[in-house]
Amino acid sequence: MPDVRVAGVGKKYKDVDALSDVSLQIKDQEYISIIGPSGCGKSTLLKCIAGIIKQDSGQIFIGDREVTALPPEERQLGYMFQEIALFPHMSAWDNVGYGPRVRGKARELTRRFVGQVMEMTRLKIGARTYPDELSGGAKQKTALARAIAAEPQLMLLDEPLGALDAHVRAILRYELRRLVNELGLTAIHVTHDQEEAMSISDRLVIMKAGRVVEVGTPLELYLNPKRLFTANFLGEANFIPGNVENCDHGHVTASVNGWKIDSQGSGFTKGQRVVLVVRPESVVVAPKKQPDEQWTGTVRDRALLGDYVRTEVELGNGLHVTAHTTNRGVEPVSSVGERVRVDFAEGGLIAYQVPAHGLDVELALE
Amino acid sequence: MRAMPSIKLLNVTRTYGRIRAIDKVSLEIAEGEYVCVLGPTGAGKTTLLRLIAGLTTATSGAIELDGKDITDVPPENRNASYVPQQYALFPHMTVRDNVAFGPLARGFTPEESLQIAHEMLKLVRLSHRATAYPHELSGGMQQRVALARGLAGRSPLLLLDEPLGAIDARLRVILRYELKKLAKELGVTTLHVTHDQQEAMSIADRIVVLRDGAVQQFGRPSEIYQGPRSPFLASFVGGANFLEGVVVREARDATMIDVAEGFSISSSRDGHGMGDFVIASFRQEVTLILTNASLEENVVPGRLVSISILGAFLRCVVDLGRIGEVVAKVSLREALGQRLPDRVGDVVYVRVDRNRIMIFDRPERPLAVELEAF
Repeated sequence: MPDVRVAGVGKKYKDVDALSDVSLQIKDQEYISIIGPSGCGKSTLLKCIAGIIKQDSGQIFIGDREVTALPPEERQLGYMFQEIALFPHMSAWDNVGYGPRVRGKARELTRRFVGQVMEMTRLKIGARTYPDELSGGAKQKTALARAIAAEPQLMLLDEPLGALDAHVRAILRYELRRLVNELGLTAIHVTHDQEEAMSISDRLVIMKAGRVVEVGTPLELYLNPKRLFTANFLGEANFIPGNVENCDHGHVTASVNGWKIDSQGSGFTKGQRVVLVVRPESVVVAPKKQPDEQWTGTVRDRALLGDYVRTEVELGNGLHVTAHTTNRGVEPVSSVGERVRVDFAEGGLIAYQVPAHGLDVELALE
Repeated sequence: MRAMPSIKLLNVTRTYGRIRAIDKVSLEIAEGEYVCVLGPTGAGKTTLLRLIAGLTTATSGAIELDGKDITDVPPENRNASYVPQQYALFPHMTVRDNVAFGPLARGFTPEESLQIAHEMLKLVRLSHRATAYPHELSGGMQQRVALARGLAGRSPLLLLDEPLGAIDARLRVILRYELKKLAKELGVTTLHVTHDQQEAMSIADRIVVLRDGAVQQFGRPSEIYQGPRSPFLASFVGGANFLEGVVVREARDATMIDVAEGFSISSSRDGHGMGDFVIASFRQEVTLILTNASLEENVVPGRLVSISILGAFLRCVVDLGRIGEVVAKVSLREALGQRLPDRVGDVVYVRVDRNRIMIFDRPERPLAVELEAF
C-alpha cells in the first residue's frame, strides 16, 4: 500500500492562511494522526489529500503517482467522516455493499464480501437492520465497514470517532487500529483528542495555525517535545519560569523564585530566562521533613480522578504545581492543607528557551 | 444573599410510549452542591435535566425545590437556568448582547443588563471577544458564551447539558476546573450532564450514574470509583478487567475464585460462599506487569499482545491464555525506569494484590451485555 507525500501545500481562505507550506512524508502502511486545536488546518489538509479541497499551491503524491490534479474518485482512497453519512433507506449491509455493487461486483460475490467485512469489523447485525435502528457505535462501525469495502489503499479518517461517547470512543479506537493493521492500509487520522492519537498512531503530526509544528512518535513527542506548544497540547504539564545559574553537559541548574533546581537542557548561558517543563506524573508529593527546606508547600486541592490522584500544591516561593500519582487504592500521602515536600522524578524536568512571542501565545489552544 | 435551592426527586418516572426514559428516580441534592449526571447515550441524562427545568413533565412522581412541590410549576417560575447542549446563540447579535438579552428581557435596564453581561463574560474569560459575532468564534468559545448567558440569568440553580461537549479534548481539561471554580464562586447548585467519566470525577461533589433511565449509583467520585456496585459501574466509571469464575474456597481473610481450569485468584473481599458464580474484577492501574516472577498468589504468566501510549500511562494488553486478555495501565515513568514492558510477544507476568480484587455477583444477563455501553 502506498506512501504519501505532501510537498509545500498552501491554502488560503480570503486573507487567512488555512495551510502554509505544509510538507509531510508518510510511509507505506504507516498510521499517522494529525492533531491540533480547532482551526489549526488539520481537516483542510486531509481534504486536500482526499482531493475534496483544491490547494492553492504545492503537490501531493500517493504511491508513485502525483494526484495533485486528480479528482477524489481517482485517488483510490477510503474516507470516513465524523458525521455519519449512511444511506438511511438502505439496510446496513446494503450500505456496506454499495461501493462494490457500483463498481460492478456480482450480487452473490458482493454478499459474501460484505459478510467478510462485517466479520472483520466484528459487527454483529442482521442483514435487514436499518441505520436508524443502530447505536452510535454500531453506525460508526458500519460507516467504517463501508469505507473498507471500497478496497482503498489509503484510509483517510476525519474525526471518525468524534460523534461517540468517551467510553465507546476509547474502545473503538483500538478496533479501528487493528483493522487498518490487518488490511495493511496506510492511514491518516485527524482528531482533536491527543490521547486517541497517541494510543493508536505510529507517528503524530502536530499542527497549529496552518503550520506543522512538529512530527514524531507519540513517545518522543510526549517525553521530549521540541516545542512548548507540543508539551502543552499532548497532556497536562507544569511550566515553571526560571533563570539559568549554570549549564553544562546537558544539565541546567536554574533558580526559580530563589529556589534551585536541576533539569535537562543544553546551550543556555548564565542568567538566561528559561521555562522548565515537568509533567504532573513526574512530580512526587511527600510528607515534609525539615521546616526550612526548599521545594515545600501546602496542598491546596486533591481529587481522585480514577486511575490517578491529582494534587495541587502551592509552594513557598509562590508557584503552583500539579502532581498526578497513580491510584493504587491505598490511602493518600497528603490531604488538603497539609505541608508537603515536592520532588521531581529523574529526567522529568526539561529546560526550554522562553519563546520570542511569549509563553502564553506559544501555549494558546484557541 | 440568595438562598440556594436543594432539589428532591421522589420516584420520578417519565415514559415515552413504551420506553421508560426515566425510571423511578429518587434523588436528593443539597444546596450549593455540584452534581454530575453520568451515563451512556440514551441513559436518560438529558431527560432528567429537562424534568428539573420543567421542560418535560413527569409521568409520575414529584419534584421538590427547597421543600416546595414544583412538579406542575412552569419552567419560567422555577428559577433555574438551563443551558442545553444545542445552545442557539442569536447569530445577528454580538456576544455581549447575547448575554445581556436575558437580563434585559426580565426587566433590568439596558445599563444593568450590559453590566451583568460584562461580569459574566469576564467569568468565562471572553471579555476580549464581547463585540464579536458568534460565527467569528470557535465552537469552544461559543459554548462559553452560552454558559455566560445561562449564568446571566442569576438563578441559583444551574442545569448544564454537556457544557464542555463542543470543546477540544485538551482545552476541555483546562475549562472543567474553571467551570467548577466558577460554580463554587457563584455558590450555585449545579447539575452537569456528561458522558465523560473523568470530567465528572474532576468536577463533581457527587456523581449520579444513570443507565436505562434508572439510577445505578449516587455518591462521591471516590466512593463510586473505589466501590462500584456492579460490573457496569466498574467498567463505565474508570474501566476494569473482569473474569468470570466460581468461589472454590472461603476463609476469614480471603475468597478464592476459580477463573479458568487450573487458575484461581484470591481476593480479600468476602460475602460470597462456596459455589457462588461471581465476577472477579480489578482496575487496570493495579494490574501490575513483571518481567519475571515466582508463581505466588495472583501471579499469572502471559504474553504481551500490544502496548500503546496514553500519556502518563502505557496501556498493555496481556493474553493470559485460558483466562483471556487483561489490560494493564503501567505508569510511563515507572516503565522507563525499569525498561519495562519491552516487546510485543514477550512473556510477562501479571500480578494483582488480593486487596485490589473486587467481587461482584454474576449479573443475570451475559457479562458482555452487562458491560455494554454502546
